[in-house]
Amino acid sequence: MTDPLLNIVDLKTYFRDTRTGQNIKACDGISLDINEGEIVGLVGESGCGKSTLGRTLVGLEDASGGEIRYGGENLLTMHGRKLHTTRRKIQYVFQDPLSSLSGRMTIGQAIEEALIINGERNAAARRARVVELLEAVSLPDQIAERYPREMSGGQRQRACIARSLAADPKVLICDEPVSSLDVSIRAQVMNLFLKLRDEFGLACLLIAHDLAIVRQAASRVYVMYLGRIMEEGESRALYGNPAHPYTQALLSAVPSTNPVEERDRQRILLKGDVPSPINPPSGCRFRGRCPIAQPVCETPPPTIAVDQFHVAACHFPGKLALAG
Amino acid sequence: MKDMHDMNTSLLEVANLSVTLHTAKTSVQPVDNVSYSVKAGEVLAIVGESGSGKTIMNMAPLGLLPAGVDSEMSGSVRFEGQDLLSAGNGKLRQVRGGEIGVIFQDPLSALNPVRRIGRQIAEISERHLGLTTKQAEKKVAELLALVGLPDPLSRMQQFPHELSGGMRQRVGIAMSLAGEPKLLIADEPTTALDVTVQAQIVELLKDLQKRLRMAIVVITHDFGVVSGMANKVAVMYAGRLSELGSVDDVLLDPVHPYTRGLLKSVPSLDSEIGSEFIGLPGHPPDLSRRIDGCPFAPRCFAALESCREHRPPLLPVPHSAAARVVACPVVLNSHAEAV
Repeated sequence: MTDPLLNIVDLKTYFRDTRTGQNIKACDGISLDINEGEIVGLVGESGCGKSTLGRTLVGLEDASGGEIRYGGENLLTMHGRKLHTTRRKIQYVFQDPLSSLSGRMTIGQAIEEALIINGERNAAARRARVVELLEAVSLPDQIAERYPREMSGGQRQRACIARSLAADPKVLICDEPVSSLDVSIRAQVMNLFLKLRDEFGLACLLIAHDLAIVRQAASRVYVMYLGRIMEEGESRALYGNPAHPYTQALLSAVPSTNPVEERDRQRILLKGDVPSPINPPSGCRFRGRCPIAQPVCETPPPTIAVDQFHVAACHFPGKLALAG
Repeated sequence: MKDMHDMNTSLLEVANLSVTLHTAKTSVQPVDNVSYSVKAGEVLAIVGESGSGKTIMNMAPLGLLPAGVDSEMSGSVRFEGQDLLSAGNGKLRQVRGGEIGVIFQDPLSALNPVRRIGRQIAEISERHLGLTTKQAEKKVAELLALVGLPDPLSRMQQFPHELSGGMRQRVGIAMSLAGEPKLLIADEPTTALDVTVQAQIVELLKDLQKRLRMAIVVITHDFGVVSGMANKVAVMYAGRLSELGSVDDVLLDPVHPYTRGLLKSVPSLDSEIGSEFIGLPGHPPDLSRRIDGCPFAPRCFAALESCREHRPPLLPVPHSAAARVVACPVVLNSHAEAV
């Protein structure tokens, strides 16, 4: 095994509640690996901390502890020029392409700006690179003259990705990259991630709440709940044989487009809401909503291998049986 | 007239409805000659992508367009036999929130942030059902319990920001029920919610619909919601109906190329891991330009030259058990041959 490209160890991101002075533990000890040329999924519901994790990886939030190792070196102890050049290798793609592009700049200008920041001084070389980058995201080069408002949603998101590629990154952190797009045009963007992986060996952390999209694109997936990883492993194994009750509940909630299946399906309906990340439950964070929680769940859950390809952080993995 | 309505006639009858919106620079027609009906106790899903006109079509006749939007409507929208398009503001105010309840997409923007939840809901029961303050408060507690909000009495004293997204949507649903509606219009009721909460809300709406014997029109872009709760489905594209039929017919055997393409675009938990995603080529048309032919023709695999010239009529699908229409003569011919 080669070392992972991005190796995150026990990462913590806490925010301070200014009113009470307490810590909001958005990410509370996350370990996660991304290998070169790999699409990794990160799923969970709103408020679970998945976006905070993504933002911490690119330096949009300050980590409170742990390590973010890129190529073996910890970004959190790096300084100055070295930090600057290493950070470029990890780029971020925002959820809403319209609000992350300036309405007063053409797409060509937006990409050129990114190239200038990355040290390309030669104007002719920049323009040639803009065409290359647009081609990489399957956009015609005339798009360079357009303003964001003159483009469709799918085109805008691809233009944003082209701009991220200007820094010549090795990893893209994509936070809900298609959730603002219509169903029929999501494929344009999702297939682009597959293409960038296959042609340029670009790795990608795909943060999304849509479990079906993540399953299809990612070879490995992490399931996050209230600042912690609940279950992780190869998509095929995790989706095929989910063992953590939270993963099972999430998957049982995904609706099918088949009305006959929908009518007699069994769901694990979770009760209550996600607890506050200021005072998360001791032991297993899911225990307050878990249908099979026992007193022992008040102690930290062990990480148990469900099968050869995936693990769950649970005292009773695979013990929740679906009725019917 | 009103008394003659029974289960067989339609509660809501929309005929040849067109809506034109005028802005300073241009006019767009987001709803173009649409007809459908909803019977008492029926759940109709109206599906379409953004800009398909599905929300405007439902909100415009109720006078619920944003302030300052200049709209023009033609056709008719009959609710219990009475045309809403020719009804005055007074009548609309009486129907809206009363016999027709509305659930808005974003529950937070539908609630007043500086007023307590209980009072906001009680007000509707007072106005539409003529209840006293005391009676209305009792009703609110019942409604909040009905939508599954724990500890309704203390919730009534809270402000909207004190609730989670799922709870706010439950409050929004309770509010839509406060006038004891016969018809509930739910505009993307689960879009802002997580899958687990979405499943809860769909279950809740189905349960309420059965218990209160309401009709529901659910506006959505999510086929999961359609298959989970609707009996009938209308698929819209560029302001027009492309397909209308029973939910089993349309979802299990889609006929219109747009319906087919859209359903295939929904990734499922059965898709091949690592496979390419399926979508539709191109993008929806500009509704400020006149479209003579089929609006979907530029993106359609089956389009013929004639599709771009003449508007395809809605034709009945032969050999289908329930009433079903499709606006595509091209596939209809091949579908008939295949059956």
